[in-house]
Amino acid sequence: MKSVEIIIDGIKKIVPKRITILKIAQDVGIEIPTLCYHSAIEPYGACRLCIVEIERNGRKRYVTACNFPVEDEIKIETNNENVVKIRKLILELLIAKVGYKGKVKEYAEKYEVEPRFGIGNDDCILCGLCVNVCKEIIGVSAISFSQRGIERKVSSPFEKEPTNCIGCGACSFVCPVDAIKVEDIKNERIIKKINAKLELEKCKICQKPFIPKKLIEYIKNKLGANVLLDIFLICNECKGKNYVDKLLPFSLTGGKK
Amino acid sequence: MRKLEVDKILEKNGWSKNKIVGILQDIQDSYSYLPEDILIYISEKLNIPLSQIYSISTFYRAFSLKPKGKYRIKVCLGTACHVRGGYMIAEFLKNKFGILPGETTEDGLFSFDTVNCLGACAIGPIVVINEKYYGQMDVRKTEKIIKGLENEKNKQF
Amino acid sequence: MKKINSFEELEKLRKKLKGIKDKEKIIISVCMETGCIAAGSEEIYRELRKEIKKVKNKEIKVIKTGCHGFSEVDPAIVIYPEKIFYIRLSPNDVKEIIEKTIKKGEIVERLTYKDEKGQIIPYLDQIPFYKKQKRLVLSLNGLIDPENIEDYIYYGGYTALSKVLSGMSPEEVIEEIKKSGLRGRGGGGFPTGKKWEYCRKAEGYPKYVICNADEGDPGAFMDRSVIEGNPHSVIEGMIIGAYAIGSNEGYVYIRHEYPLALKRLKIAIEQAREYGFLGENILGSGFSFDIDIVRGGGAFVCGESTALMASIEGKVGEPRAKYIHTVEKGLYEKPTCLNNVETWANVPFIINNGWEKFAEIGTDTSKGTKIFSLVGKVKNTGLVEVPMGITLREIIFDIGGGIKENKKFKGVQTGGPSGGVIPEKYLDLPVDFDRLNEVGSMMGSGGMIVMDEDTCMVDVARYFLNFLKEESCGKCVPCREGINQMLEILNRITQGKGKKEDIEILKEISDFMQKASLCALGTTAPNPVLTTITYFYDEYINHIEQKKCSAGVCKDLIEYFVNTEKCTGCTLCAKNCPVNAIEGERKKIHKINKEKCIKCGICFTICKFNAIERK
Ligand SMILES: Cc1cc2nc3c(=O)[nH]c(=O)nc-3n(C[C@H](O)[C@H](O)[C@H](O)COP(=O)(O)O)c2cc1C
Ligand code: SF4
Ligand code: SF4
Ligand code: FES
Ligand code: FES
Repeated sequence: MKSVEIIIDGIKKIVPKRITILKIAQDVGIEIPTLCYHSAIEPYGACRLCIVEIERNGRKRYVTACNFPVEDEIKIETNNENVVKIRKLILELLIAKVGYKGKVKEYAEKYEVEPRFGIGNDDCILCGLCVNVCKEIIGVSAISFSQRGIERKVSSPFEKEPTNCIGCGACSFVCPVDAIKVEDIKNERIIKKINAKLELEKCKICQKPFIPKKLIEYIKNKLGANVLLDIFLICNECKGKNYVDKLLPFSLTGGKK
Repeated sequence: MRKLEVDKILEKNGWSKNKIVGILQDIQDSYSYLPEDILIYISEKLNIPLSQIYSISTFYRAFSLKPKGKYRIKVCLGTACHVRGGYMIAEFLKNKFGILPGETTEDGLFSFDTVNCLGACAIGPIVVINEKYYGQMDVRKTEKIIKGLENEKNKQF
Repeated sequence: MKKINSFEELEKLRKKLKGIKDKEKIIISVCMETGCIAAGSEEIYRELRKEIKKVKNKEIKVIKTGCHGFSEVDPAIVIYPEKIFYIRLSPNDVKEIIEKTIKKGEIVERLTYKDEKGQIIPYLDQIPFYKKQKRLVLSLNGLIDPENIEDYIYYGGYTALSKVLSGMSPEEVIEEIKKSGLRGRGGGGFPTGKKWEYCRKAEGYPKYVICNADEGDPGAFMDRSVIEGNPHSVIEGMIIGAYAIGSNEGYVYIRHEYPLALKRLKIAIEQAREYGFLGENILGSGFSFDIDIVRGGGAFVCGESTALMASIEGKVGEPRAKYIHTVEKGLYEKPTCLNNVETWANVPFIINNGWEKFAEIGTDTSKGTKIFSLVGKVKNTGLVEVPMGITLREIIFDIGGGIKENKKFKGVQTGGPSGGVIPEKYLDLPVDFDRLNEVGSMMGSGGMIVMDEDTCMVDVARYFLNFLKEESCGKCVPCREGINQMLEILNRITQGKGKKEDIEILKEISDFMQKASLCALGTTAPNPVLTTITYFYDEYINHIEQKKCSAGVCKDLIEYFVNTEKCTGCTLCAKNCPVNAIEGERKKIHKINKEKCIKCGICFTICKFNAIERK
């Protein structure tokens, strides 16, 4: 038996075994909120916002949709009262930590959360996307979590300049609360949150510094090329003028492990 | 010099990436902390991202990134010791040294940590100084021992 | 020692050992475990060795053993074969013991145990502390030298392994364990035989067996004691388990706070290898298996199965989803069977004696015995092994001798940070996995912390949350942030700043954490809070409404002061105050400087005239 029949929010569906609830929901067009999930990255299961209620043999329990693999006939409720109650409290706790930011703000408004534990001002919700994208997709592991429990945070080793960071900005790109800001100032790229500072190479056409030298080296190594195609060495603005405005798919390790 | 020592530890652990926690334990045992340069060296030798080593070093309580004092005092705050008043000893040391658990006095003589159960609960509260266990402790007995250690130091100088 | 290559050779060795050991007429056993050594048993051992040498009698032997369990009276020795029990010894007592007991067979009364009425009880088995115990797992603790494998072999060690390898199929072994009704001793109580069966049937190779010796529950030291006292029983259990499951590779994950246990385990594994119980082709059976030791790094969460496996793999001890069980995908994503120290140590007994012998002990759903560390405000602290189904009252009052200083019993905490506090009304509850769950606590790994009227229950709840705040890995939101918010509320309550709504919020967050946390650390974290709210509601109200801590624990709610009528100016308190907060001249009334006072209560306990009062 490679597939099973499940019921999701009243809809019957036959699905392949070990598919996640989140994927099923996406297929049938049910929206489940997520904070620590990204389709290109191994599910991490940390934010718990995607929680749903499942019923198997008359027993109910709560599981996270992003990483729960369906094995047998279950009934799934993605948005009932109990589920909403849990999601609200998650959001309330996150507001106590970071306040109204990015996706937290969006969902808090959607679920009409009233904060009882105050409005915090940290920058990060510890979803792990930045750490995991850097490890799994970029293949660099320049940053990691440090400490544990409530002290946990995202940081570079010893909170110093991460020597292997290539400045690609993927961490910033995936962050749901925009905690990682990438700033190009003159000929330097600065990513303050992770103490990174990288020298930039100039655009071949307009001479504006735009891409970290280390990133160019990294791509060269990955592609095993001595010289790079101009596409890597020309800034987006000039690309828009000279080439088809299209980025290469940005996966250097071949995506998910 | 140091590299040789570290190599020995790596050798003992079969140069295995998976044994990184054990390797760091050995480093901690030899140096009483995890020196940054050694961690960088290990990261290069075993090809483990430095971020992962840093992550492990700060996650587990067994590790410290700062040198520990000559006398390493551990006060047990496990449940059995807590209900018998172990927390008072911790409170006392905080006051006495003016440092928080995990820190070391400025003169490098004492460092003070709290731990959760050392498995000698029946004779709690427990205080461990370097490797020696002291049972049925209270604030007074602790103070006496520390005075003794301080005097010993004065004698040496 | 030459490697043992067959079952016959093992029996031959046992016979040879019998020949030697049967000549040892008197054995003086000195317990040398972390606890006993802290109490000073090493000095006693040295002195005994020195004095016995002078006696020049080959029939007398002094050995270092694991703990006899009655920690309260350490350092202590047991003299076999009569099992004369001498307690609270100092090195000066040794000469008298040799002169009187060893040479003349007389009892030194002043060194024996005395009961409530002052009655002398010289023999170990007659002491109330031991009477109601039933020692299966601990049967050899105190009798064998844990650093000498031949002691274990002499007493029948590795016969179970020999039996299994010489004539049982893996399925038969699993069936035996299933029928015995053995359930995991690490806390959850999962049926061990079933776990082995799932793991045997799981696809994938290699398969791993792991022994969980992380023992993170504060106030619990059963596993430490089993390893320090009889490490081979655990090793033998693991080899049998590995054979049943089809594994050739095992790990013991041991807490780094246990240096002595680690040392003894290392020695035991080396010896087992040397004798051929570990390694290639064990006892000539064709089965191979070996064990590696991994030291924990000081993280309670690493007792959790997936975190433990991550830690062995050289990662941070972060739990992951277990929707696919670890028996299928565990260590390095391979089928893995993880059991607790005590679970493994039960296996040889079951195999040797048959499942029936094991299953006849205990209740319907919980078979065999359980080791508890009985600590806190109880008179006889120590390690006790009791049949399942015994009541809490029997453990605390008959074995434990009741509450210290004859104070009033308030509650008993079982199950560590995942468990709860059980109040007086449930004292007659039989100890059994399911019954303890019913009242909101759990068996846990076996910590049993007795609390009396001087223990504040709000403080206990706060204590555990504080513990968990430091120990939560911080990965998932409900646990990390939930604990933090609950702790803030409890801190407020213990400072007298609580509001009545706080109790409802605590319950709401608790319910949420139970449903939404990633691992069992988070889902069980609310238990200490919920049980204390349920059973000691008045104490919460007392803190919130009257701003009072009747136990006198919550510092912000108490104050020490000098009763000017009673103070004689003896200066005793001032001399003993660790922070010099008490001022006053000799023969004049003293005064406590509130700014300096750390409320340690030393003056309160030390004043001979009861002139220091607390409010
Ligand atoms: C936070 C946490 C800590 C745990 N600590 C321990 C421990 O110290 N020792 C242990 O044997 N089991 C511990 N467990 C239970 C284990 O995860 C696991 O269930 C057990 O080792 C399985 O063995 P058993 O079936 O023999 O009991 C812990 C569980 C959790 C959630
Ligand atoms: S910085 Fe952003 S992406 Fe990284 S863990 Fe924090 S919230 Fe997630
Ligand atoms: S429940 Fe706690 S310990 Fe478990 S994964 Fe979540 S944060 Fe970590
Ligand atoms: S999206 Fe599933 S746990 Fe975060
Ligand atoms: S609680 Fe302190 S040694 Fe166990």
